[in-house]
Amino acid sequence: MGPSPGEIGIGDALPDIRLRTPQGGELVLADLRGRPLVIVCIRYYG
Amino acid sequence: MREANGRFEALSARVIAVGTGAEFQARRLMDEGMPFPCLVDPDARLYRALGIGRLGWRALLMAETYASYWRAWRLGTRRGQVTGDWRRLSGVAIMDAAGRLCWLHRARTVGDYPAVARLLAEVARLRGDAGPPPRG
Repeated sequence: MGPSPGEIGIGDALPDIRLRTPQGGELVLADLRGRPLVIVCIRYYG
Repeated sequence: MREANGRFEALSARVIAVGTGAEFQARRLMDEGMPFPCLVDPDARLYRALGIGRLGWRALLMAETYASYWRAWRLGTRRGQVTGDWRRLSGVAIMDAAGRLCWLHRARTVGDYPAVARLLAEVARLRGDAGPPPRG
């Protein structure tokens, strides 16, 4: 089964998603290209 | 992952954590010594792009869900304030240097994370210096 609409599949480039930094700034995922990237999507508690 | 960060760095990889919660929670994790950036995805755009789902009734009925809570409790973890989308599940994605998705794990329930050894092996495979992937 392939990815649903809006989802990326293996081999696809990640869209330019903006994330917030703990300091209130922004980081664009595309800025992290150049090295392999391990993204751990977690649940923040506490 | 905290303890293994140096091994990812040795493979020239970068690790980031992303959550849908609040910035103060990400900041606290980093203040407590998390060695990689902890970021916030308030609208779960990254989660949706990766197809990481939400906790459903089926997962709530899985023994694995409660086993995960039990393991965390035994390790001393106490659940605090839940912010963001409390039903959003976890996942791990590995991107290559060009930003392409190379490997993806979507959690089936709470606490369903792949083994660090598996992640290291997948990153090593990106560099072309690893053997066959480990099972699981």
